[in-house]
Amino acid sequence: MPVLPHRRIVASVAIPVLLLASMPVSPVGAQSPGDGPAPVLILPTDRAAFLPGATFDIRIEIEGEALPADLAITVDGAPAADFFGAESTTETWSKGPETAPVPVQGVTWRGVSFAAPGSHTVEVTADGATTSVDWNVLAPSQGAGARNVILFIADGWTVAELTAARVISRGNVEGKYLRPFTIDQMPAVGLAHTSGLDSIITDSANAASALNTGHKAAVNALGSYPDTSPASADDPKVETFAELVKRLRGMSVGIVTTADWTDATPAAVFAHTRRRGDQADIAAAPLDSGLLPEVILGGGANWMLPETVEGGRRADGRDLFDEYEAAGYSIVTDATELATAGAAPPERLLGLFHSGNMNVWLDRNVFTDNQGSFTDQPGLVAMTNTALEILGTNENGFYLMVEAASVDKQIHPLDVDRMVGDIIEFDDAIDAAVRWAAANAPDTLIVITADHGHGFETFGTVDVEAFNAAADIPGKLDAIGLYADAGFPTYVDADGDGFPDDWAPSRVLAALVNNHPEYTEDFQVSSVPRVPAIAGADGSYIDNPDDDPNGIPMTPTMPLSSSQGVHTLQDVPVFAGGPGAEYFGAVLDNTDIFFGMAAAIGLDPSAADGITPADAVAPEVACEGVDFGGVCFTR
Amino acid sequence: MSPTTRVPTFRPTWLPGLIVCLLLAGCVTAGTSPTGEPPTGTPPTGGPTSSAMVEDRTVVVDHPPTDASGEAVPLSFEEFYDGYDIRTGLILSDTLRSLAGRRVRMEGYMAPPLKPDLDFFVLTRIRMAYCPFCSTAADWPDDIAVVYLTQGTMRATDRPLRLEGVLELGARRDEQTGLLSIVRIRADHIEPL
Ligand SMILES: [Zn+2]
Repeated sequence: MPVLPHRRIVASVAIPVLLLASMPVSPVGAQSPGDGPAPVLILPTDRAAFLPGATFDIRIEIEGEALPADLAITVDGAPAADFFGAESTTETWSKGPETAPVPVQGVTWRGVSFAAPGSHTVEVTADGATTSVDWNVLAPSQGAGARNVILFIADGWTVAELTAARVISRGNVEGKYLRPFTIDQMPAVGLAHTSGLDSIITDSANAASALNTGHKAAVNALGSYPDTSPASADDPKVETFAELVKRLRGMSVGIVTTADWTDATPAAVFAHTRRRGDQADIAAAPLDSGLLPEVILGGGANWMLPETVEGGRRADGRDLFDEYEAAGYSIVTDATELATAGAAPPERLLGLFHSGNMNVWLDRNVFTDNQGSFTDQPGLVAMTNTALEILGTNENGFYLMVEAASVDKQIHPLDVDRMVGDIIEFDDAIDAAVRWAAANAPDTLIVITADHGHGFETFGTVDVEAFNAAADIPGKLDAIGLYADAGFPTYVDADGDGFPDDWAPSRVLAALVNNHPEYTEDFQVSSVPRVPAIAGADGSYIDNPDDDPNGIPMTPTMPLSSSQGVHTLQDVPVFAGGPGAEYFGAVLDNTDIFFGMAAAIGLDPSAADGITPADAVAPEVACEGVDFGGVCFTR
Repeated sequence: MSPTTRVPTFRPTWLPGLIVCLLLAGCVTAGTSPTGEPPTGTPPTGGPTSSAMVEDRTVVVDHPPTDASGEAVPLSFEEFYDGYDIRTGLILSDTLRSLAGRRVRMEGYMAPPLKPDLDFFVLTRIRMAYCPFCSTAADWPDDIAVVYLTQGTMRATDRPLRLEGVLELGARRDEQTGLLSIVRIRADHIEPL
């Protein structure tokens, strides 16, 4: 039965996290300053989880001018070089500020892997002191019958945002929604923790990296553990889901996003860098590594062009369009060409539709002047459909990541309507995937989640006419309806396309973000993308007089150096449907999503064909808590 | 909260920029980085923070505008480009091309600068802000101009600006700052509106 093995993986991943949640969380080893033993950093970090056969780098950092004479690096007591059957290299660099550099010795193993499941202890002895980390190699699951995996990520998406979008899109009468989103009908619903190695608050890079690798990273880091060396590309790497399924199973890989395709979330599918801002390097990474996704659709043409061309951002002079074309890609640049490509699927497709981030649904469909000259951009639905047409031709299956990037990019500047439009479009893209899978490939796992939250919530409605007519701030506040006075917003969707016919109805949502700079809020749709705050003369952010001049003034709730809302701590929703979906109906860590996707397709990177052997038996996990209803509850 | 205090008129002053900086602000910089990395320092503190106080400041240029020959031609951001070709980049308009090397007049806003005393800044069509975590320098709109002061420095400001100077055209990376630009103006006259 497919259910049991991957259920066990849930337990073996989740339980240690819960058991150790109260312990100090530090990505580093002993860091005692002063004259004591040399501080040691071991990467990957303590409690890292692996699949056997998945490759990764190890880096041990020891502060000092030279390697300690007594240096010993062991795994379960055996020299690490013997354990992994590989030799290390040693490098030296300086960390810390230029005024007070600290010399570091780095001992590195590249591309090692574990042969089998089990727990391991890595010990580093230096200057008489020992630092250790524990690593857990999980047992691969026999799979749930999934051949394809689609990971939908709405960047910066929360339950509160989904609920607001549902009210506006579907309508609510006497407490009941008139119809559900497709997301709402997913059989498995869970939550995912999002914190990273360095902070409880994550960014899109380390969160998406966790989803794609099963390993935590730090803010700005992709597919690697952050070391202290100045170089951003030499940090110890971990293999991504896309790399694993392409290398071992011959599966196709697709990337669809509304952002620059080199932005953090899409880059997490394939990139390895400490610095997500290295977008020129990220754009070239597939060419340079040879891991060529079959489908790349999104924005970010600027990162493909040499800087000698107006708009180009590449200092290396390469024209990546030419290089991707030479690597076998068909290239499309607008929605019309994309539709043609979908009709006769090419082997590899690169479609970039904007110089930077693509325009949001509201600007592509309502306030179309905001598109500038990019008047024929495809939406997320068209991009998803074309990607599925191409990827679906691979009998070995595929991994497709689809990102609604601007849910995050619009709620950062507190632009509720632009965020809502892209959530409705996100649900439409998921609906398209469900229909495609039902018709073409029922053995497709669909996972839907976010990388982190935002502090958005709806607390009532606003009588727009009264708000705008009020002579003073108390009058405007009185136009906000609470509890029974809130009633229902008056959006109408007569044409049934799921989007309001008019984004400026008489009663709108009273919705705010709880962290923000000084700004003004009128709760009404903005005809241009919002810029709520601008830099004042001393660099502190102050209200933008051009944004919501009719709004109520809001006192800043964050450092004055912050121009807009930021990511928040809350667990993000996880939805799933298709074979292997049950795994996701749980409270998960974001790293568990990687293992859940691997479990659904029975991925065993230590097997020659990447498939978990039929006779593999998952190890029993002894319950050290209370067994209730077949579940082990621990504290 | 629109400014209610009267905007002081622009008056060039001979005060050295450094002294002006010490007098008027804490010389703090915005905690932002164009690389998308988190700010490394602490947020600015102690400086004036309300917009009312900011309004009391005057834009200061160390030197008065030099007398420039030739009538300045008005130029708007909308006139810059005829669109964008995904494979070849921005398409410069004939209007823009015809003005290369000539004296132009533009109005716009100073983008959030990285330091308070400026010898160059980015001029934008609308007021801008950007988030260091979710966007990088890549998120600059295409229709921007980099303004280099021909003499001295000026204070950062959030007010609309009118400036005059010689238009320089073509993709170029500033060796010192790494800033990529297409439209540059060597400005000798800058005033708030
Ligand atoms: Zn974000």
